[in-house]
Amino acid sequence: MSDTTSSTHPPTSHSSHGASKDIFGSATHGKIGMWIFLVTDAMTFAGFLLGYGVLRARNPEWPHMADVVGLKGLILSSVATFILICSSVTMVIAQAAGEIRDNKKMLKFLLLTALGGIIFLGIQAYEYTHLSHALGMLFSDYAKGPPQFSSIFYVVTGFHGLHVLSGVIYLLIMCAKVARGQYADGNVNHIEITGLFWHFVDLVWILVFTFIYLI
Amino acid sequence: MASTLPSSEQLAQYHSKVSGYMKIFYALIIVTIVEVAIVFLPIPRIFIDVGVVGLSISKAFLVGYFYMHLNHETMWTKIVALLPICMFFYAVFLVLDGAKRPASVYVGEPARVFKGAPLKEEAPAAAKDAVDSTPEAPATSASETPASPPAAGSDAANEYR
Repeated sequence: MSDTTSSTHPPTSHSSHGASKDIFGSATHGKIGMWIFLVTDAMTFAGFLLGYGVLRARNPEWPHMADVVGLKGLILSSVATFILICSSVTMVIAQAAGEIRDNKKMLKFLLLTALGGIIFLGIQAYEYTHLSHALGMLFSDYAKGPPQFSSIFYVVTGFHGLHVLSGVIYLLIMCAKVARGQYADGNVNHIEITGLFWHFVDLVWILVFTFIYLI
Repeated sequence: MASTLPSSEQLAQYHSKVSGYMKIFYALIIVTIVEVAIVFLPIPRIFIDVGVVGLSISKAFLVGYFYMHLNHETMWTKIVALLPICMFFYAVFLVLDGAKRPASVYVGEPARVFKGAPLKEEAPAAAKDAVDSTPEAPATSASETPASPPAAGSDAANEYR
């Protein structure tokens, strides 16, 4: 039986990985590895959101984010959410294009995905400066209420922002590889793994946006 | 290696996949707009919170199931991906438990492991006493600590410690 563990070839039906094939089907080790990493990352975010929940539940003076930033601020964050959802769509289209060996389209949509991430980071950066200068929301203090309010906001959204930044770097590296023709043969397993990370970043933002901004 | 042109069958598959992804995209946009609109409705806060959380979980499901291709994965991969849901149930219990305790119980109170345990900052002092003075000193400081009343908190608060 030939060794099919190389990263560019998914296991064939004659694969020697009997147990993992029964359990995980045609998913490669890299994909399962990324899923496991995402599960651990989700637990980290869950820990932060849990801390946020406990802090908030025990503090009756906790303001509503919608009241603090107003309709304009909420719309800005909604635009950021919309941009991230769009980047998720471009990511999944890039993968579909790669599967039919349309390298140019795959590269174009991967670049659009990275651009969406960069725009999201720009919106976050603008929002942070506005919140700290105009609303007195600093990392360790809040001028108009409990200091934990602004602190946990920056911790949760900043941690997510770091994920977006690393996702953008990951995407740009994959764009360089796609431009060199590394995935022009239709085997887009690595692109799919990149997509898993990017969709996870979007998924977490959907939950963070709800718990931090809307509740 | 040169990429070959896709066949018409592959193109048809690609277009049907993309139209499926776009349908999910429109659903996500509509749900996001509804979510933000709900926040400004003149209804009790509990309905807003439950509605908004429910909608966000449905959005997370749409992204996870269709964009992350969980619908094409085996049962075990789905189970691996759903493990953080266990964190959610754990979190619900912890938040509800933490919500019951008044905040004043913890204000001004240094951390301690259990009721009657010496307070952390007194432990080095107790060790210093043991070194400097007679052997009775550690026993005295240890017996004093559980009896000393907490700096803040009512009788009801004491029950939690």
